[in-house]
Amino acid sequence: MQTSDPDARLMLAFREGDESALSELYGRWAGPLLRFLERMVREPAIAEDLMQETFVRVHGARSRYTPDARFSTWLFRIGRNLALNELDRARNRAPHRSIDEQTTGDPSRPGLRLVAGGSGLEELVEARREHARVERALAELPERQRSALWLAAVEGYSYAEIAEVLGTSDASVKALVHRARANLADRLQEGGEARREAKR
Amino acid sequence: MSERDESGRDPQRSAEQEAFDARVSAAIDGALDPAARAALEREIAADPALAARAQALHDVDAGLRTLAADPIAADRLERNFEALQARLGSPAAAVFANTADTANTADAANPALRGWLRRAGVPILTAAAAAAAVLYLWLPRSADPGATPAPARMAGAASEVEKGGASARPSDEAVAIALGYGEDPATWQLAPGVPIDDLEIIEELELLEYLATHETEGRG
Repeated sequence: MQTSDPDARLMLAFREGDESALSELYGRWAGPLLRFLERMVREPAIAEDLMQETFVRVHGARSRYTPDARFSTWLFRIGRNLALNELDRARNRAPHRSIDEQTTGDPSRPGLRLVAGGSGLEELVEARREHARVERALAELPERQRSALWLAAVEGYSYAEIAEVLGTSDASVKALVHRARANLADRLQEGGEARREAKR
Repeated sequence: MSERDESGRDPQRSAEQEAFDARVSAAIDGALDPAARAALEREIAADPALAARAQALHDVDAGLRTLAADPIAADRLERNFEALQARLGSPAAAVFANTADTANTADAANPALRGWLRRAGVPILTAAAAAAAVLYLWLPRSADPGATPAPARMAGAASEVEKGGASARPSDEAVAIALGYGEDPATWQLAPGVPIDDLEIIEELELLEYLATHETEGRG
């Protein structure tokens, strides 16, 4: 079967028995998938488990794989479904915790990138605070809006590809992305105004 | 802060404002046809309030991409890859260990050499250990036999912190390390060692304390 997607070609090679193709797919997609899952479950260790589980499912489904769409949309769809199951389980087993309580102290948790010898300390602190503000505002969005916006803005997916991941229509993805973007803009603006007010 | 409905929508926002947001959003995603995009651009150019709103929507994407630009530590991905392989029961692959893999390939290509090495391995290792012991006893000792040279970048950063304010204000890098930042082994860039949510207030207090301490030392 012909496909222009290099990842789909790797997956087909893996289906035919080339074990190294799965390693290459992991090398290409583990990072983006992990970032996406971290925004969904907001716990780095759980996101790692889900990322591993996603690749286990890919491994298990290889004989049934057909390159109908981009490999990565298939991968993200598996990951998101697993994350939704995990969120359901978490909701049933534990009381709600605020985002602020959900820090793990994991030193490998992604944070602000600082270039050595770069900007001054004040800018550094300010950039870090801004980073935290965006992360928190994003976490407050409903899950479908958050996922849709992340896939559009960060992964650069088309509405059709996001619809593939979310299992919905292009039109509803368009509405989800627009609503998410507007909500996030409002929340960031409100946060910025509150901070300016507090400084006065 | 205004109240929102279940979808997070602000009911105070008019239908007209909603429609404007939707068009800007579609334009950002490249889903607006050229004629509609040109009309939108004219509208934005004529109204500073609309221009500010369009910029705010645009900034959302920039903010998200900043989050995504943070490097994920290579050892984190590697650790997960090893765990994945253990679960799948598959042999180590080449993603993270190209050098080791090349060596394994060369080894596998020559079974005779591999067999000889396996048979000769124990005597060779014993002889090497004996030679090392003789050299250790015979050669003069350094002042600190346990000392191992630190990598140049880290050694430099550490000495900056140790020097403190003796010369002048510490470098940004030294202060960042003192605040709990470390170097990401994947990129050799400084990366935070504490979760982002902890840093709202504590960070500034620690920073002030650190600078005050070193300023005093510098004067003394």
